[in-house]
Amino acid sequence: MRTPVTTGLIAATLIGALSLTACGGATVEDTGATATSVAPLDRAPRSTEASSEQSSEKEAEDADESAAASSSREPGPDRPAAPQPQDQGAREVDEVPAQEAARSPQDVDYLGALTDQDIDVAGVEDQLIGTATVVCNPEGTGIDQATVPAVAGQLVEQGRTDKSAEELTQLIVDNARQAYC
Amino acid sequence: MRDTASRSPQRRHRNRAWLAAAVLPTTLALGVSLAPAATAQSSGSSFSDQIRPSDPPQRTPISTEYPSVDNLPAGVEVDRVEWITDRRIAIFIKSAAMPGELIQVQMLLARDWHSSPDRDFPEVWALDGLRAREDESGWTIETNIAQFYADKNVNVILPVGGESSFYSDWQRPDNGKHYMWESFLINELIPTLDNGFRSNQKRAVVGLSMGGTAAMNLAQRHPHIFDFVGSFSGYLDTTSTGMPAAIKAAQADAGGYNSDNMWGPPNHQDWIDHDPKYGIENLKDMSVYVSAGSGTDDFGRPESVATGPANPAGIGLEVLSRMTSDTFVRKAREAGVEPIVHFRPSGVHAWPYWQFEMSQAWPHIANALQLSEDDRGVDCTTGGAIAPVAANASGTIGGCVTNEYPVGDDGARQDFRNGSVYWSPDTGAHALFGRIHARYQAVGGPSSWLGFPTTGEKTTPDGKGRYVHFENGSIYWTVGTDAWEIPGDMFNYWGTTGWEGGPLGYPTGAAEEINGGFVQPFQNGSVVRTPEGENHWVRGAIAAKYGELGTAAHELGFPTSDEKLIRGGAFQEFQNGNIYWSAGTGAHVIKYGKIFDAWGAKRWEQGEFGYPTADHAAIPAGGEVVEFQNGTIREIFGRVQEDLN
Repeated sequence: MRTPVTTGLIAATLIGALSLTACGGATVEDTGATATSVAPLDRAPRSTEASSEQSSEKEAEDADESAAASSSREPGPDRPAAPQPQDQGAREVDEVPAQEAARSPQDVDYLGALTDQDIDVAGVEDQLIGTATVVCNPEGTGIDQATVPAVAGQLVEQGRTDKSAEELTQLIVDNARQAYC
Repeated sequence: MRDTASRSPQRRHRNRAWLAAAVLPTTLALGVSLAPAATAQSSGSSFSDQIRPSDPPQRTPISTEYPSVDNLPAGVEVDRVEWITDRRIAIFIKSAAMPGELIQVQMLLARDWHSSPDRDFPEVWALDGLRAREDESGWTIETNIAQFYADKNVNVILPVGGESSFYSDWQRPDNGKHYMWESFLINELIPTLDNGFRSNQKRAVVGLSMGGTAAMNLAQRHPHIFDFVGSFSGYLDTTSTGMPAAIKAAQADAGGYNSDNMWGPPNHQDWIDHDPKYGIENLKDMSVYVSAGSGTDDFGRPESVATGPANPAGIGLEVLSRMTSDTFVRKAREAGVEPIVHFRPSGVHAWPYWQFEMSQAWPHIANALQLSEDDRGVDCTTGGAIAPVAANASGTIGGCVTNEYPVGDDGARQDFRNGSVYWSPDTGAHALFGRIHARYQAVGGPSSWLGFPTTGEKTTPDGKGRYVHFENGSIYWTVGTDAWEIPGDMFNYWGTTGWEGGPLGYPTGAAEEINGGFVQPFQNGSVVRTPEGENHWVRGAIAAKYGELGTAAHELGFPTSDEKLIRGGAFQEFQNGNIYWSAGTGAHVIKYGKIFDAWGAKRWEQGEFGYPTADHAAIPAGGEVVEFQNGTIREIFGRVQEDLN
């Protein structure tokens, strides 16, 4: 479902590029010649350009149509793969049906360590890994200071742990540093 | 002539911002407000920068009209409407809730706005992010929203401004302004749109990031007004541990705002009243759409929409959006509200994803607004004389969005994604687009004095300009001068100087009516139509002097000649005097009368007095005086007095 739309975006950019090209490449005609009696559009010199535009435009339109067709379809199951039943016990992370599958050894260590602390990471693995990324690379922005406690708060809010948000904050920071930094 | 989707994002801001961020102190305690960031300015800070739209090209407003909008709340009025393209307008509203500066709201006009002038349309409101700019919505700067909606029969409403505001009513002023966005949007904008801008009162509201939170708040706080609400990477839990602090940090970062001035300290009731997870009950009769990425950078993957690698802020903010959106969805389902959920398996906090979400949400928006199949997208054919012209220009104007419809006395028009084709029996079919088309629309199109186009858009020999000829005039455009219509007679007279290649250059404004005649400004002069219908031009220093005096409104009146070259300089005759110029003396006015006659008796500028060195002036004690190179001539009590140096 995403691919055609991506193509559509590319197509939209293509149309833009063409319009600029067409602007710059339009027929140059002496204004004097057209001043009083208006000359018809002089198409002859730009026939090759015009035909290439047409074919590009056709592609763009085709892409647009497929994008429209796909987006007008009712989406299938709207629920994401992510949220998993919450009443499961702690599990080995490599058993989680991960949508993107490939987890690095560091990911496995990090998620495993959090799971061992009785945190239900199922469905939020990517968010926890993203949190670890900003812990290790805040680039002086303060984004880590803003993100980690709020992520901890959401884990509590979603009933994924019995620990306090403060405790979780420290656990995430410590385990992220150990696994990635 | 510009396509928002084709603009290259300018990274200058971001680089500078990250540089500035790097020197900020980082001794910040967990959960504590990021106080040092509060001193950062909008343009030089850190972590919400990737959602700040880049600088759009500077544009000159091209038209202003003054619609009257009835039945607005006291103190609210539409100040003016500017046409940006023929399908995009900027409405400037005098607000009672936020007095002071005018509030700008841009609007992408529904597909059939021009072809069905009696029809009202549903609206899609698109709210901006934390770093909303004062000049233009991020949606039009960073996404293809105008192109996407070009074939859809909804008006897209884009409030402009409100950096860090959450489109909320703030408790107190901050940063020199007192945000009252919710009051403005609900109490002032809605009646404005209902009364003056063809709303059928069915509304969807969507937003990204801060705008996602705000869309949810507006929908929950005014459920009778909206049929659809969409949050794209919004923060849908604002009160759980850590979120008030995160929002506080983000607002401090985006413009140096203090959350305490918005909703009070974190335990204040206002925070709860603006927490989307607590307002779900009010969404039961509404279509609810929630999307977010995962916080994983997918730049470079074949299916990715990302245009660059993610930065830590983009990851962190999307993690918060996703986690809080997930919390919201769980609460919604518990409350019996089933949102349409698009949680993407990757993606960070950035515009390309929100452009994608805009297209994903559309079919659901169309359902909620009960749009007919025809109103949802393209269903048109191109035929007759328009077809070959449209095909030839398709690279520029794109596919059709309407069928042809009658315009003017005897012609037809068909709208395309980025332009229109106009046809009449006398003129044939021609394609218009870009700023020239917008100007044509603003002037009144085929029903105006211009009539139908007689050419398509052409390029001037210097390569800098574009022009279109019409039945009774022309429109010329360059990047620096914008697009301006020139009446046919004035166009022809401009032609006697060599058009844009001559001394006058390109037009820089419309012809202004003065005392029954017209004066049109050009880069280096003006072209004039006298009340008697004669044409003249003024140029260079004489034109500058004439302009400084107010052109034909000055007592000099209209020119009665063009500029005449004379030994040592030039002069030009007007109804009530002349302007003389030489390189050494500059341009100066001398009125007809006794001084002029006395000077003339001495062979004018060629005689012993030489050129005037100052404008004809009044003597405070009574009388008039003109200073010349070699003397002075005065008229006092009707008597002329000549003094040579």
